[in-house]
Amino acid sequence: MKILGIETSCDETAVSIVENGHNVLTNVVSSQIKKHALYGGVIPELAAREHLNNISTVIDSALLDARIGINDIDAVAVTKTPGLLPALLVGVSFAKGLVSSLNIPLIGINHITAHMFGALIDRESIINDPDSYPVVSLIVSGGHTLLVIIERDGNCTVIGRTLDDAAGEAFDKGAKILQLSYPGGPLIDKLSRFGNVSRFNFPRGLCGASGNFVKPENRLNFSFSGVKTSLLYQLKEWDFGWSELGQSVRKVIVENTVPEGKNRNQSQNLMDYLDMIASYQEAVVDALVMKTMSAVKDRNVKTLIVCGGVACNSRLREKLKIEADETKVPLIIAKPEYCTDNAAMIAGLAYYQLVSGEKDDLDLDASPSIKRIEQIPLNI
Amino acid sequence: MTIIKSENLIEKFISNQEYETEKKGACFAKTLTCGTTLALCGEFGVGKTVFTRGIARGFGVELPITSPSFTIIQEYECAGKTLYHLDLYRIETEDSALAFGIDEFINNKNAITVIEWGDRIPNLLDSDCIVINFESASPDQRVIRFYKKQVSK
Repeated sequence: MKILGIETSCDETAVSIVENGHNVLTNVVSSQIKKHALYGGVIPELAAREHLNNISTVIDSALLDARIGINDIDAVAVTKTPGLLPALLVGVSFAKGLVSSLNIPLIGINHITAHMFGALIDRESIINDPDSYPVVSLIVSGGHTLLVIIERDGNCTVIGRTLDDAAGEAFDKGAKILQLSYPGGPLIDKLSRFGNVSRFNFPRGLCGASGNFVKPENRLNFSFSGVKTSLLYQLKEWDFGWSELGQSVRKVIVENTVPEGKNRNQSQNLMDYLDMIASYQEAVVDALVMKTMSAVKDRNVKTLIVCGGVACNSRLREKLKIEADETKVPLIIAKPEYCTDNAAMIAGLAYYQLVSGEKDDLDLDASPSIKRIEQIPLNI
Repeated sequence: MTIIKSENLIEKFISNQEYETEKKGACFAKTLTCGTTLALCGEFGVGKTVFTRGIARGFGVELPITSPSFTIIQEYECAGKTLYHLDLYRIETEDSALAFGIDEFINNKNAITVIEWGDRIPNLLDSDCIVINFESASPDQRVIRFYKKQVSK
């Protein structure tokens, strides 16, 4: 069964065709990051307009890439929640048009649930092995930071979430405070490799460091607004000459090496800046790792999966790997193409939903806020 | 165009820690009626989201109040009241805000709307909107000033 998936919840117009949940025939993502870079962020109105411009081209190139015709599609799946409403509506309306003209089933998909599935899209054996459960999933992106337990019967429970900012937002806003351009996360990741992670002290939110009492109900919850504010104030005390520094930083980004300064002062200034970025990233990563590993230990977890855009962060991957090896829990981090927004995860999960009888009709609604994490109907 | 005019100052409040900002929001919520729009202004980390969390708590919302910077809008329902929490961090112009449909939220007589970075859309705000400006005086201390947007003539 070939399902065409459409994802337009944020800044990517993505289309994928997946056979029987796992065989990805094509996975097309029309990245809009370049356009948004001019504005320093995702702009919903632009996003919606771009989705509208992109969607038929992206569908055509997906069909071409998969070497099939539109009539070979057995069902259409689309992200229905959560996301930016004008953007979601483009995908949902287009999907409705497709299914009514082709007379095939429509499946509305929860983007968050799909992200978790994305980590397992190339791991069918894990889904089918009863001994893999319970699975704990860390979902980290610009808009969400969640810890979800998936039980053997597919029941999902949110056991931890952010109380303020998402981890991706901490990276994005941190980058803006550090005068870096959009998207800030990958730049912080890159620059951090050249800095000292323990030079500056940043708070690890709700982790009980510096003697702060953590309420039991917050044991698995996250907080990233404190680290952002702390960066703001530490930066105020530091007088970086931005124009000169900006040039050196660009060099580090492009040439992947720390350039010699014109003088000692300039070199030191750059090192201070890189140390600050590295220490900031470390604080965000530490909080993610600490909470995730607490969840693994608390719930006797058999598999740990990590997904969402921030799962591409190399320091997070590295530290989770070390901790997971020590705890002897199998760690699966979504492949980079399934970390960021994509439609393969939408089309893949839709197969399981369709097989278990879940489909939608033409009154399918898009909804901006996440109502709940639905059950993942994996047939095991 | 600035929406902060010193002659329109209603109240000045000094908060010495995050908790006081939240508590002030909760008390302030009790004075609000449906149809009110609040425009929150101030840089990163001055307590806009904390104050909004207070307002939500004042209404009896118990869910975590997370930053809508990426999601743009969060909606909360409690005791028959609707609270819209908007964040224009990613919306820089009034045209983009209008294309997004912001007018439905600002002029919604059945809800209370809180808009972070509200000073980005001065011409779209009703003249009876309340402007709240946040400034940090020290790492912990915040000065919060409440203004009427303008006296309509």
